[in-house]
Parts: sequence; C-alpha cells; structure tokens
Amino acid sequence: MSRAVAAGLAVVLLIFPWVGTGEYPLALLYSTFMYVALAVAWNVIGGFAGYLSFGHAAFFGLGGYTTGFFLVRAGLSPFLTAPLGAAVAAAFAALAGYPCLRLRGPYFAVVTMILGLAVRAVVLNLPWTGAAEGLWMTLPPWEPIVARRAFYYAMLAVALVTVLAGRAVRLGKIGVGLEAIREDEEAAQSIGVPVVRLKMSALILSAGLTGLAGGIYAYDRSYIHPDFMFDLHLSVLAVLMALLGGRQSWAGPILGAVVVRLVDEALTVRVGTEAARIIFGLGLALVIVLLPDGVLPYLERLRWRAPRPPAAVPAAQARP
Amino acid sequence: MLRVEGLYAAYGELEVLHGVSLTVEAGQFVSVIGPNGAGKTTLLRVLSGLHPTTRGAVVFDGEPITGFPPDLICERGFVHVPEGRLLFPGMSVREHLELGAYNRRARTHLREQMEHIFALFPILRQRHAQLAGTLSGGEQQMLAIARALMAKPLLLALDEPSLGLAPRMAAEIFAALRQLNHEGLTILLISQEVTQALLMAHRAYVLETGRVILDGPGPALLHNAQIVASYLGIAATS
Repeated sequence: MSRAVAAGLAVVLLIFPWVGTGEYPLALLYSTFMYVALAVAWNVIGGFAGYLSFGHAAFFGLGGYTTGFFLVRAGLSPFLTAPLGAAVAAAFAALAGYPCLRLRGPYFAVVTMILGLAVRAVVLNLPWTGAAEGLWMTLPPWEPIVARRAFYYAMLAVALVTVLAGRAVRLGKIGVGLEAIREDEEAAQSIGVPVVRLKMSALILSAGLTGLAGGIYAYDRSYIHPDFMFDLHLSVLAVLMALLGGRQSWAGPILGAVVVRLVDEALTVRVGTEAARIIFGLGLALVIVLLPDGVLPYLERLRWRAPRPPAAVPAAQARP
Repeated sequence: MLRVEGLYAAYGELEVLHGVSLTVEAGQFVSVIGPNGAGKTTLLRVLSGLHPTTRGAVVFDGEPITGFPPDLICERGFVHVPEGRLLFPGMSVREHLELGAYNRRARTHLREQMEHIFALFPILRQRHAQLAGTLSGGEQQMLAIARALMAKPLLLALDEPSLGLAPRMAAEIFAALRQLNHEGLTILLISQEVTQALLMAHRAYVLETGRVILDGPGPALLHNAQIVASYLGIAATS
C-alpha cells in the first residue's frame, strides 16, 4: 500500500516538469525538496539522537562554498562537485563534532549555534572565499525553464538520497542505538552501545547531507554570500520543521518540511512577508506546545485509535 | 576472571577510591558491601569503563581492560547493571532486550538468549510489548538484569539491584541471581542488603571510604564481630 503510494508519488514528481509546468511551481517544489533534505538530514542527529543542533547552517554553507570554490577556481560544475561539498561539511563535522558532542542538552544547542556563527564570521573575512563581497558563479547558458528543470531534478535527487539515508539509519541497528542515546545516554553506554561512535556517525552523516543540499542551492543562486549561506534562520528552520513533523520517525521531518514550506509560501504571497512570519511563528509555537512529539505521531495515533474497539486494548496497559 | 589491582579513581580533586584490589574467580558469586559513600558505585563504574581511573589495573578474562571504552568492555563480557536500573521509559520490553544484544558477539545468539531470559523471568514474556515506564519497580529491575544478560556476559556486575523494592520482589531478584550463578555465570554484586549479599557470596569484600578493609568467604564474614557491629545491628532492625 505505502509502497504503491511512494511509487506513484515518484512517477508524478518525475514527470511533473514535463506537463507544461511553468517556472514558479518548479521553483516552489525545488525549495520544498531542499527543506525536506534539510529537515531529514538535521533529524539524524537532532531527532534520532536527541542532540539539538542549532548550527546546521555551517554545514549548508560549507557545502555551498566548496562547490562555488571549485566552479570558480577549476571550472567544475557544482552538479558534479556537490558530493565534494558534502565531504567537506562532513569532515568539518568530524572535527568540530568530537568536542561538541561531549556536551548535552542546551549546552550542545548553544555551542552548535555559536559554531555556526563562527564559521560565518571566518568565511566573511577570508579573501579567497570572496569575503564580504560574496562569490559569483557563472550558470550554464540555459533557457530559464531548462535551468529550473535541471535544479528541480538535482534537488529532488538530494532529497531522495537524504530521505533514504535517514530511513535506513532509523530502521537499522544504528537507529536503535541512537534512540537509546536519546532516551538515556548513560544507560546506553552501560549496556555497551558505542555512544561516541554512533553520535559521531550521525552528526557526520547529517552534516554531509546538509552540505550536499547547500552545494546545489549555491549553484542555483549563482551568487553566494555568508549572510544567506550561513544564515542562523536556516539552522532554526531545520529544527522547527523536524519538531513540527515529529522527530522520532524518519518520515516526520518530511511532513514538517512540506507543511512549513507551503504554508510559508502561501502566507508570504497572500499576506506579505512580515505578517506571514508572525502568523507562522505563532502557529509553530502552538503546535509545539500542543503536540510536543510533532504532527506525524499524532496522526498515526488517530489512525490506530479509530478502528479498534476498546476491548482490544490489552488489560496490561491499564496498569498505572 | 577479574583481577583488580590498586585501583584509584577521583571526581575532580576528590579521590574516592584509594587503591582497591579484589579478585573474582570464574563461576564465583562475589559481593561488595559497605556504607554509603564508600565508593562501591564508583568501583563498578570504573570497572565497566563509565568512569576514568587515575591509577591501577583491571584484568578481565586474562587481558588488561584498564582505560577501555564501555562498549568494548561490555563486548568482552563484563556487563554492568547500573544503579537505579536506567531503563528507556519510551521503549518496550522487547526493544530493551534487543538493545541489550547490541554487540556483535551477542547479536548472533539473540533468539535463544531471549528465550532463556523469558524462562528466567516469565513475567517479561507477558509484558514484552509494554513500555518499560509502565512496569512495576520489581519488573523494571528484572528487565534491567535481562537487558544485561542479552549481552551474553561472562561476568554480570550489579549495583544495588534490590534498592527500593518490596521485600518479596527483592527475594525474587536474589533467587534469580543465585540461579544464574548456579548455571555458571560469574556475579559481582554490590548491595546494602548485607545479610543476603554475604549469605550468597563465595567471597565478599567490605569497602569503606575507598579501601577494602576486610574480605573473606561471605558466610564467614556474617559472623565477623566488626561486620555484626557496623552493619547487621542496623540491618536486623530495618
């Protein structure tokens, strides 16, 4: 059933650019794919392991700057060098992650946020990254609609790879280990879960996937600047989308990202950016207060509850 | 099986273990007793790699494991049931057992080991789908022990497994430990239930302010004047 839905969705998304679709819907879906990739990638460390990073913009920006750098200096297409951007982001995560992951809870959140801001400050002041002037890239000489299609497919591929990776982690042995770390790291350690190795792997994978998205995004903008490549807003957005959709599952952040992106777009178009931000923020705050586990677990519970008569609930569950 | 030589450990500047030495032979039931703050929990945490040691050596199953990370020590067969059980409230009983078999060595025996554990604690089979947070205190302790057994220990180290349990539950836990020991599992027990701990012990160590002040066969210590004065006077009335 769900396999059929996934296959159907894949077919629709694949042929979507060829059914007379204009540039706007393609751009909207492109950015939705990017949000999905960001939310799902963030969730590997933030959701599964419970380490709330507020510094993922650093990985995004590093991915973007790496691909930009290779295009400007070596003339290589970012469609090809995006994996290199992912590798640089992952390598940075490996270096920075070891000390950061010794901290927990709010300490980890604050340190990663500072890390994100620090990387931005460094890039802003390095001459070979374009510093405060930013970095200009030349796009291929394509018609606008052709370029939109190309970026649509590229970001769809990034989102797909990210979702499949996130799913594999969650459903695999690593996912169980990360869940144990999230529930009680001390206990996980005492029963032999290799906590340091798992946390590092989760962060590195999360950073790499985020860097991959950053690479494609940077090329699409064709001009990159630390202000939006290392934007704190992006870090916060990744957290919010995952929280909204539900951090425990691999699919939750997909839902969160799609809802955030589409609602954000609708509000921006209908009521203007400023008002949209306020409405949006209030809505998110409400969801987080009312549904702390996110929307997806709530929907699942509704689905399970409906068809079952109360007698089917095992008596044991009634115990206090 | 386990040889600890001159072990020191500290929390920051404060040294809590001042050269602890003890030996656990294969198949033995060994108890460590002592008052609060003697360093019993720290000792177990150091042995299982959860807390660093400043000096001293730990040899387990013929090989030095001093300074090893906890997951490697666990994989080698030294498995620790921590104080306060430390379960994952949002996970089911079955998920705990699967997690217990996280290391590669244990993973291959997952099914048979789970059957073995359900035979030892039949209540866990009934509750296998239930979340750990909804179990009673005694059931939670059984689950903590069961989870550790899933790692296929050569030596099972337990920190206060009867703490906060109803007497009947505590007796059940001790009975299970005795049975495991009869089946050949080496056991290192830390307990404030002095009488029980000493009665069952082939060998017992008394730890006070970070030093072993006394050791010998468990039942013999039960008649030691010093033990009777320091512990049993209180234990008998409580």
